[in-house]
Amino acid sequence: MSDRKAVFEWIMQPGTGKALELRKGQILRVEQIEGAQCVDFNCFNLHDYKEFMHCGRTRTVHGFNPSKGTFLWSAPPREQAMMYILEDTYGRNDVLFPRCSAYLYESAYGFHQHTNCHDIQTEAQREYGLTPDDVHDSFNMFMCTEVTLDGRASITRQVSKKGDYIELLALMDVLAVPNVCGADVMRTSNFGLKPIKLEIFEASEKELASVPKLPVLKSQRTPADFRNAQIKSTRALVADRSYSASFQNTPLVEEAITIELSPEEYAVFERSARADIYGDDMPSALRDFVFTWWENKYLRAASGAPRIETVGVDQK
Amino acid sequence: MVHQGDQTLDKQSVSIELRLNSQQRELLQRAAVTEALPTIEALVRLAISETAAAAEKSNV
Repeated sequence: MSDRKAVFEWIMQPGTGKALELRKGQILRVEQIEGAQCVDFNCFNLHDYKEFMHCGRTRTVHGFNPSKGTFLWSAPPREQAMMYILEDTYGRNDVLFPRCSAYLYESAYGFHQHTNCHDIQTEAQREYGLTPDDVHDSFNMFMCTEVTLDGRASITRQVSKKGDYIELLALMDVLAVPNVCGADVMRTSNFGLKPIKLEIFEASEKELASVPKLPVLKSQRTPADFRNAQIKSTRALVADRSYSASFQNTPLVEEAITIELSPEEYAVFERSARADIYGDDMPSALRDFVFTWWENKYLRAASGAPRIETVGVDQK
Repeated sequence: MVHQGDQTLDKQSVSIELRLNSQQRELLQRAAVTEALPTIEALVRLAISETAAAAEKSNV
């Protein structure tokens, strides 16, 4: 780390954000100058802005609080790991909450104008020709959240300190857009806004080698695979008169296989059959039984998350 | 003979339909190949025997 040399430095002041080009293999460090400041973040494929960091996908793979040793993913049908969290000295981040917005501050606080992450992101991204509709839900660095027993998400205060930092390694060329969260009237940044230091470094061979290996799947599609790869340039939606539906693997028709079970086999099945769900619908109960067995034995990717080889990764 | 929904019971065996679409069938056929089993029916029997074994183990 000590032989690193920053190729870019920037102090991001409260109320602002910064769009930064990162080439594959470069590291963005986001550092607390005073401490206790949330930073909203998103990134785009630098060569195709339609691919961006997707909180839902990231949440599915890594949970609500991605930290060191996890990835930031793009949305289906791309589903690529865009960035890797190489370091995270604080260890609390959030992908539950969307970026805060002007609507929030007007509806909850009565502000007609107030700093908010959506508008800050919009202004930062405008440098690259993006519109307010091109802001997406954010990876919220240093933000402490929790899920309550009644299923609601809530924000708590944070205790990040001066010098705490997160490092994101670009796994593709990206436009990275961090912003100082505009929430000065809530707990997100302990009721205050502070500047944030941004630095870009070239990753060392050792750092690049530390990234866990991910499978490359055919289902990770690019525009070359799209039936319609054209980016729509008009706002109104008008039906294509020549459209003919073509859904894959359809029609999906069930066919029955008769399974002969011995009384002993049937007894085992019956003990496990979910009568609470299926009642006397034994075919549905048997199908559930078989696929549950399959899940337990063969499922490689819970919730669609790829199996990530974490050898050598210091997971928090 | 006892008829109960889609199942037919007698003293020797019980017949139950396993209804699968083409995708579900593909998944189970792949598992059958992995297990070196000739049919999905044989795979169901394996699932039952392994479930029974797991239950027995957890009761020990």
